[in-house]
Amino acid sequence: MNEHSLNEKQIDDLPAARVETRSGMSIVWLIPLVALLVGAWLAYKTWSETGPIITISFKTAEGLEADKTKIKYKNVEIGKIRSIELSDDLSHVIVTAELVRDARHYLTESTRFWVVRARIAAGEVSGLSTLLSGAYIGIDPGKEGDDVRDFVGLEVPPALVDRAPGSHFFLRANNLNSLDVGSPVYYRMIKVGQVISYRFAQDGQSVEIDVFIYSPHDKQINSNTRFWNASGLEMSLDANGVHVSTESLVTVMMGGIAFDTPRKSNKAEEPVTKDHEFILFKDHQATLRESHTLKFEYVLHFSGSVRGLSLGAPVEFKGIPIGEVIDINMEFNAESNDIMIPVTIEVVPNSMIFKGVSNQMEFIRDNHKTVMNDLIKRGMRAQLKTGNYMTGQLFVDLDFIPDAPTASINWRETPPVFPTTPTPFEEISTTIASLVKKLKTLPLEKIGSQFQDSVITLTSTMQETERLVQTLNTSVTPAITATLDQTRKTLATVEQTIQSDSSTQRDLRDVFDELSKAARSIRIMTDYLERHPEALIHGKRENQ
Amino acid sequence: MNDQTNAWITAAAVGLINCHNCGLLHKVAQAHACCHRCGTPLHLRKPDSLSRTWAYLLAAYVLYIPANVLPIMVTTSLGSTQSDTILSGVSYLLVTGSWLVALVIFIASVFVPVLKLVILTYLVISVQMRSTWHPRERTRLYRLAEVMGRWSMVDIYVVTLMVALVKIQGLADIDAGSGAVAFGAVVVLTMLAAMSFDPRLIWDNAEKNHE
Repeated sequence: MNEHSLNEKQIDDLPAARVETRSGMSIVWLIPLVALLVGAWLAYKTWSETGPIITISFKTAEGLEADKTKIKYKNVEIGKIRSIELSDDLSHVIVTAELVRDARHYLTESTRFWVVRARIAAGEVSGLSTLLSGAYIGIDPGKEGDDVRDFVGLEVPPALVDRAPGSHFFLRANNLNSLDVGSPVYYRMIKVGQVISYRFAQDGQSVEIDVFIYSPHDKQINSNTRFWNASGLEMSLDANGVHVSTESLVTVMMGGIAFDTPRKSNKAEEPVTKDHEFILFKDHQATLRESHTLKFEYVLHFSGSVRGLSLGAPVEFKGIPIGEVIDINMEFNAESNDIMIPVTIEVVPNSMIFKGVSNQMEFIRDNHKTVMNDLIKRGMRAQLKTGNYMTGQLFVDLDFIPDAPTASINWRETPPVFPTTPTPFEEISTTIASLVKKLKTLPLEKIGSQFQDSVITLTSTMQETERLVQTLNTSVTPAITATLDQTRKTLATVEQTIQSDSSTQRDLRDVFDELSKAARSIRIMTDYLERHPEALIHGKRENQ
Repeated sequence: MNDQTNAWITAAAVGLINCHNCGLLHKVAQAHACCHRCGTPLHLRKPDSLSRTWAYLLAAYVLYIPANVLPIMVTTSLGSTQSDTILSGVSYLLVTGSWLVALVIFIASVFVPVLKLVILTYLVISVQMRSTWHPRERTRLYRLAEVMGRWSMVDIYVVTLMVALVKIQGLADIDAGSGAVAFGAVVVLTMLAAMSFDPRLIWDNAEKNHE
């Protein structure tokens, strides 16, 4: 009997298994539940981390790499480029990028994208860090506007990205000069803003410039504010000499805009809106001219040349500038067959102080004509004068000419014609011209030939004179020598004669002695006769 | 079918049950019996085999999606971060020319888990349908699934090694992504599913069918 072999009995003897009841749901079903939860959580996590997908189009993908190039705001990575593709017409590249989820609130129409590369422009070096890290895409998030997912990237970084407080202003200029995006705006030589953008006006006839002025300097700007171009070095040559002015060394290099608000302006200051259009003057001088409001225009007809008279040349009255030349023309008068040079000037009476007048502006407007007529009657004339002898620049001088021929303003013309008088220089030149003309009429050739004849005659005369002198030398000189000897002898004799111990001298002294004695006697006699006139009859008496 | 099958006697057929731990042979009693000697619960077949296998399989299916969608490896080198899923890694290897490595990774990480899931699902369904079709081949399939299942952990090993080795501060850094966790869970779950499946059930159906 094998112990290990089973038989029926042994099987029956096998112990019966104990029974323990167990019931309920199997715990194993927790596993798929947990898996589901984990899966759901992972899915949610992934979904919540997935940001919006956007496309940005650029002109070029230079420096951009799919899966590498990042999108950064304030140097914080907020996205990454997923792919770079060419547009259908091959004109630009389309960059698909994924941003972090939080960025979805900022993907609006006002959001801007641009590529940050190392660049040197507008007086500053930027993006140097991209030399090592590679280019990245910068974003200027904006909340205004509708949500969009397709953007057009900027080719140049915007000048303003940090949402600094301040105000935008709108300027219109004839041309851009050396301004650029990022060019500074100065107020009293302190940088207070910059150029944001520029573009052509709709008609292409002017340039529209947007500037941004940081707070609180934007409060300095009101309707009286004047903007001018402070670009580069401003050199002007006029009747006052040479002017060189510049705002700062930076503007010399890259241009800039300056502004000022004249405090003593006739116009009321009003706050401006964003749409207010400012004129960008070409220089500071231009803004000063513009601020005068009441102007009178006159036309001057000068007979002489106006060479040296430029537009903007000052009009002065007794040395004080009161206006400027605004136009110089040439006119042909078909009736009189004459060519005229009308010079239009602009006189600004505002620079004058009016005594005894309450409302200056009104007074000027009302009494302008009568006052001017009176001044003309008293001899006021316009004349050209040289302001600078170095440059030969002319200016228009209004002055009283004492004995001027009578004239009056022709008010019928528009603008009225102001009487002129020739320049002193003009008079001098006229005189010189007539002198020259007379000189020209002189028979210079004849005079020359006559002069030549005279010279010949003179030469022969001179020869004769020479001969004469020779004759004199040979014949006359010995005679003269003898005469001189004779004279010397005579003089010696005379000397002897008048010497003190000579007899002649002694005789003379005796004679004088005698004469003085005689004179004394006569005096005594006359004295005696005075006292005793009867002595003439009775003769001298003996002492009484 | 196979006539020999019926000729063989199984323990269950004669009403006997074996203790898994101490090997003591018992007579079959009611369900939920315990070993007379060591107290181990006695089961004629693996308890709740089908439902457990189903549970593990479902969990594996659920986690298989994030395992493939989420990155399993996040590589940071010189400031640029790159995250790879299993398939992107395979395609990267394929594109760069290492098609042999790509093939190995593909088989170990994509083909094997999928095959295993499919095989187990088929087996479970076929048992539930009381199919008697080719029990021997189906058993062979089960063995195959059990044997090759562990090899799909190759990917996880690679990621683990890389994460541990490549830690060059600032220059290069590799981190395991959440996909790796999901993938590891998928592999473990399929192994558990294979373990909880009782291949004897395949034969039980075959026997019953012949009775």
